[in-house]
Amino acid sequence: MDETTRPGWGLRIWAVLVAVLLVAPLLIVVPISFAEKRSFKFPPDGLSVDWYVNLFTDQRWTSAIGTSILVGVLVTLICTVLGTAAALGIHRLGGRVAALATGVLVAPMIVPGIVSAVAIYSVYLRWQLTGNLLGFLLAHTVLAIPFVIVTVTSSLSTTDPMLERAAASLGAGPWRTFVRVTLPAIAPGVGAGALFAFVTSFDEVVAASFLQSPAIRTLPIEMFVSVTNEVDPTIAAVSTVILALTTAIVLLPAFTRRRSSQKASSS
Amino acid sequence: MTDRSATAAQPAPTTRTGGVRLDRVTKRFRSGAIGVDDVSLAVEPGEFVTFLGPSGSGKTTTLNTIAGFAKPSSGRIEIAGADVTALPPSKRNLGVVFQNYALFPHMTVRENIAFGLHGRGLSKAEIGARIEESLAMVRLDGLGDRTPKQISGGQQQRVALARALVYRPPVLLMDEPLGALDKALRDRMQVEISRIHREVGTTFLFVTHDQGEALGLSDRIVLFDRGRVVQVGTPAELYERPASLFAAEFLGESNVFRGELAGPGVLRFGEQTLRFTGDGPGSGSAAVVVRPERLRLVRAADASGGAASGVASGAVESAARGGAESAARGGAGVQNRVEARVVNIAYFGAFRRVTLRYADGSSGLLHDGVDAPAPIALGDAVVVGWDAEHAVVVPAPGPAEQAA
Repeated sequence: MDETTRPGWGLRIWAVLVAVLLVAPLLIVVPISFAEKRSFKFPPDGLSVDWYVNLFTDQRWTSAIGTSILVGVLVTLICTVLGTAAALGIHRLGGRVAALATGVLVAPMIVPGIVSAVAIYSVYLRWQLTGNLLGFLLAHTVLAIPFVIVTVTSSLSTTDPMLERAAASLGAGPWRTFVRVTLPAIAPGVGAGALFAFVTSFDEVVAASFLQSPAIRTLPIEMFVSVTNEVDPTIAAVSTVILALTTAIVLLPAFTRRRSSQKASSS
Repeated sequence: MTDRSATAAQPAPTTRTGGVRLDRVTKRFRSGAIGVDDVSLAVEPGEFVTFLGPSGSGKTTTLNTIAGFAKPSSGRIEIAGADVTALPPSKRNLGVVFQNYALFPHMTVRENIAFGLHGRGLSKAEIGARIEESLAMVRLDGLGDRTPKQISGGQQQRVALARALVYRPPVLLMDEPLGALDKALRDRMQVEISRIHREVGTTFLFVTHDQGEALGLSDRIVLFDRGRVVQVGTPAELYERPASLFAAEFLGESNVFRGELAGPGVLRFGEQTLRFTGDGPGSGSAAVVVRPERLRLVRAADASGGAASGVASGAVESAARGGAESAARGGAGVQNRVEARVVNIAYFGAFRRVTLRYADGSSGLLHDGVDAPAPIALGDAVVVGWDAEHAVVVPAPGPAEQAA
């Protein structure tokens, strides 16, 4: 690994420029969230944590956070179970039927969000699934399940198919084979899929804006309403918290992986 | 053929514990290709039987139908006297060693071995004792806590064996288990597998395309070609009395003299008459097969002067006259003589491996031992010979039939 050639200065500057362009607009919300006055002025005139206090005390924001987490966790559970099962079935099926099934299940990832959202809205309106939790769960499950299917399928394709045969030859039935052999082998894919499913649900805004009612709003909807109707730096505080959390989630596996690979190479 | 249909008509006699019985097993793939074509076979309890054949000959598919990984299109499979044709692999109580071992990567060696002991009504103490016992059997004591990634390929192979034998299945199936190992390790593992087979007394079914493994390990070899069983016998039977040209050429090296049968025990090879003992096809195209170590250098031709063809025709005449005269002259006492040209000589220490070209353009091999009568060199015209009892005749379709 140490033998890889080091990038030249030109490439380094280019990389930094790209990084700045991508990340800088995101980071602007951080100072604004600590503003003293009710304004989006950058840089802010004075510093305070008022907007963080507001975020965690105003019932409007706390209920939106609660709804988003509840929907996100439930959607993650449903998608992980159904998506893993679907991926296993497709993997075993093989052939044209499998390709067709994959196409149908993964379609929501390819179809433009607004198209799915309008379609979901028009049908859910008739089924009375707007403005309630069940509607959010179903819609987000449809939108998030492709991520689980894709990650689990790719995990399965790199798993030795002989492992399941070996388990069967050793007397294990299908369930024991799945729990003790297959699931541990595809766990990274299942984990990644679950994470993607949660993030998909958590920041989904198009379908949610059709399904929402004053009684049930997810965090992105509340943010959208806030940013269009009023000048409230609380939204900057929300953004900063989300930014911090997602950064932590993304970096965590990278750090643990590096440590484990170091351990493996040192032994 | 008549034997086989007779077996099929009668109710099959129940096999003793540990035997395997295939009754007219056929496996047709969804594509329409036939993987296994009407294979019937009886493996005795405790026997070491090798399925040998080139890739695509149906040996692995046959093993897979026994293991339950492939469902036969027709036919019946019995293990230890019980019909298992409809049973899933998990209910067949077999041990299986896979080509790439298929060890569970997230489990330790001990956990891998313990996996098959689950649900067999054993106490914790018994399970622990069995694991240690099988680790000792494959000589991996002390490596129980490693993961498969932390041990070598040869050690992984041993773990796979221990895992498949720890619950004492009546039959152990092995699919090219030595294929992934290097030559030295493969030789060592062969010895180990033989030892383990003697120790446990389990029936071993071993799939390989390596004739050396088949000859060295087996009680009996089942030779496969294009989905069919072409010959079953002990290694010596298969090597010394091949029943077909395929068997002769697949197992070991051979000199093949193609010709026409001209009466009992006589084959016309070009201008010459070759004699053989034992049964053979009555008439038509056939080939006399002679193993390299049975072939003897009768006379090294004069390298000096004269056209090679002149030397050759003289040799042919003497060979055609055969019998007493040449025996008296050469003192070798061989009944069959053929002229050949030396096209390659490779030194192997104990012998020299001489590649020959015969008059009909076919090539052959001779193992020239330390007591060779005269030194030979590349390009020499020589006469080689063999005794009739060391030749086997097999049916050999002519070029036209072969193409069809």
